[in-house]
Amino acid sequence: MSEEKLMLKVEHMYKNFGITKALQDVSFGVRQGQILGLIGENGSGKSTVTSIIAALQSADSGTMYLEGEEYKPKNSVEAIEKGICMILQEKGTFDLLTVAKNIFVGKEELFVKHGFLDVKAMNREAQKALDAIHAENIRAEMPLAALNFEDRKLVEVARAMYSNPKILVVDETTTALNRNGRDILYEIMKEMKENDKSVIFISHDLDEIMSVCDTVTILRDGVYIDTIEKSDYAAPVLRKLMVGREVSDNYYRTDKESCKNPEVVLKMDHVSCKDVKDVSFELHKGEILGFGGLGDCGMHILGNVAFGLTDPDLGKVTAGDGTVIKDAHVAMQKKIAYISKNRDQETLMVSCSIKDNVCLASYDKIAKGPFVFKKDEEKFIEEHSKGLEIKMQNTDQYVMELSGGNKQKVALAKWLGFGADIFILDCPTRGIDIGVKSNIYQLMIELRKQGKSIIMISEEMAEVIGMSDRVIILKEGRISGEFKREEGVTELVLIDYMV
Amino acid sequence: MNKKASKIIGICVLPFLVFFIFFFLADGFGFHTIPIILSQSMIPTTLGLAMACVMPAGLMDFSPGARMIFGAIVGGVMGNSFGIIGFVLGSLIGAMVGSLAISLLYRYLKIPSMVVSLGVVLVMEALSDRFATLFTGGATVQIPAMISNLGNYPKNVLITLVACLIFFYMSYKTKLGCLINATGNDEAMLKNMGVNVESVKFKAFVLSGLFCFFAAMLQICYSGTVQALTNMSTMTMVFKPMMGVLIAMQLVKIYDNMPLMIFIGELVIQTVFNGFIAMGWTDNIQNIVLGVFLILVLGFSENTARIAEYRRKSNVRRAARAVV
Repeated sequence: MSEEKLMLKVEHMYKNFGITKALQDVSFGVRQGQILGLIGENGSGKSTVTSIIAALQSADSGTMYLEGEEYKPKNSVEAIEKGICMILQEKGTFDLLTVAKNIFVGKEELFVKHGFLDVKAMNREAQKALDAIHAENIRAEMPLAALNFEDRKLVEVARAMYSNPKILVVDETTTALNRNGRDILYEIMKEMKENDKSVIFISHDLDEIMSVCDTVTILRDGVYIDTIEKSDYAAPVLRKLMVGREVSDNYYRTDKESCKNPEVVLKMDHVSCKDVKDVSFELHKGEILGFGGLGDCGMHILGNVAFGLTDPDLGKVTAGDGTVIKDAHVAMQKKIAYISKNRDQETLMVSCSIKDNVCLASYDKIAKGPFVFKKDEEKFIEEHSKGLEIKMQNTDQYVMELSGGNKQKVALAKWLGFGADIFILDCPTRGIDIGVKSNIYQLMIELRKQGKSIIMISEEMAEVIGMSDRVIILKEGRISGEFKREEGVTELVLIDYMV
Repeated sequence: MNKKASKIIGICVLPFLVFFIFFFLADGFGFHTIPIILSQSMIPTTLGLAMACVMPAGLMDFSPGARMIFGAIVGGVMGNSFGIIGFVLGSLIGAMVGSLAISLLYRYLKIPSMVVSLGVVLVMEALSDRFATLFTGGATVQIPAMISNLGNYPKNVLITLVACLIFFYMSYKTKLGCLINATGNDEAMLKNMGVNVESVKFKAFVLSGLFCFFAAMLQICYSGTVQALTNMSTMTMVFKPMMGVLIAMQLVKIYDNMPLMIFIGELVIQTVFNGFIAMGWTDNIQNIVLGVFLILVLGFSENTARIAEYRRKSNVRRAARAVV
């Protein structure tokens, strides 16, 4: 890497959170006109180092250089002024403000004339920012609350791009975007590269990383491991560097037989609801039933309906004994567990401790009479999170401080401890590194062997095919195809049924 | 008629609707009560504006009543010595003292706003009493008719209108207004964007003092006298304004103009109260009905999405039955 072309250089950076060493002597650089991929397992320090670069937090020690000069931003405003913007993995918008006010939050003085905020000028400028990223469908004067999750993310992209950054940090944003949103982001990254600017791109999708990035830097457990140029890309090598061991290309099930158990444990009978139209299926004991389709095909709402969170307009969901699942309370009585795609909002209490989250569904088991003892909680957590290897300081740590993969492990530990017989997993490996992904697949295989049933809803076709006994494809809310494992269905075949 | 106009008209009809209900139910409740209701709505509206400065930022404040009374007492005392200018300046200084106190205490001691406001209520009430006793020998301050005329109908409406315009300008046309709303929405995220959230909250409390000043002037002018209250009695003065603000917070979802919605909210509350009085209801019954009314209004407005969803589901099920 030639020194004179370096846009940003990070040298000997350290950061600790309590006893957790988030970054240890991390050094790397980003060249002008380069898209640098930053990869690593959950908890490897990717988000920590980029949030330090964007001045969302400070390092314990270490130095940064921006275009050859020492770079020590006091806060994110200074970082933005110096040309570094970050699009976060989590929600970064204000629901109560308009789109325009979201784009210019903290920069309102740009539109203050004679003491008055010129809202019309702000709206005009915001619309220009949205149009510039080809998000013309979003209107600047709209209340943000009227937008869906994907469009809100695009508002963040517009906000970041308005300040014309020299370096754009994209932290796992693509998982929150639909195809159109991803294309918009890729186009922006391409334009930045062509204009001799730089991008730091974080993603768990190795294919995406390899196709988008010029160079990849790998972190593991807070330590810099290596930097690989595009010409040397090889997925197995990157995986090994990320995880520190060989990870097979195929971590899915190897058997080719579907579940033959006739016992029905959950039945959906002619269910119609919002985007779902007349869907019927049966889930059998010991079966992994995969649902696939495009993001808006209605499959995500199915998980909600099956767990009783959404009351169907027509039809019903029944447990094996015929009990109608009319709400989540009944679902839990029937030992049904649900992990939503929207993990932070719908599955976990992120501002509570790991202990509270894991024990929540199981206090009936843990309590002794009216009392709950700490040692019983600790014992319970240890018992049910044993195989999951959650990276945490202790069980009192807040869930919000955990990485995506570890949050998912907490969600799984909660339902394992609860003793669920039916697991509804919506995008169980979304935003999760391959190491944890592999662990989750192994856990699913193990649960299947124990006679537990799983509904897996996923947008990743390889995962649906690789793990399911039976695959159901949804198109525009209706079932468009159903395939058994032994049929050896391929992604190409499924895509025909999806679009 | 465009959508915006129909929304405004729809909301503005609300107090008239309530008025006509009592018009037909209660003897003696007629058009002649309109100026009374309007006059009575002015103080809660301005106090409501004071509360609406801090509530959107996620802060709870029970002290506007105490700050208003202190402002009225200082204004009254100074008005007696220095005329109208003294009255206005005194009311402003009195109202701002409490506001600055709560702003500084909240900012530097990091105590929850509700707790700070309770402390400020106690201190301001004691100060009001001491101040009034020091200058008048009793707990009551009286002002000359020349000054109290300032707050007579319709001048009180004009004062409130000025307060509403200032609030509108601050809330919708300044950076501070945007940031107050953003603070209540997600404080941590705003901090990450480099915004000094503590400063925003500080300014929100200071700003609320300005509306306590308007309320103070209206309060003492209403009857020409003001009495220092103790034992947290001033806290009861914030409940009606708070109800108006809560109603307004629901109405702004339909049409975004907070001061207008606060005024409409307070007007509705005052109309209801006057209607009860005209019907000869006791205080207890009035409070019960008002509580139920508030629950119903909030219950309905908070559940509009659920109600719409219920109606949609019913239609789908009815259509499905018809096909069968």
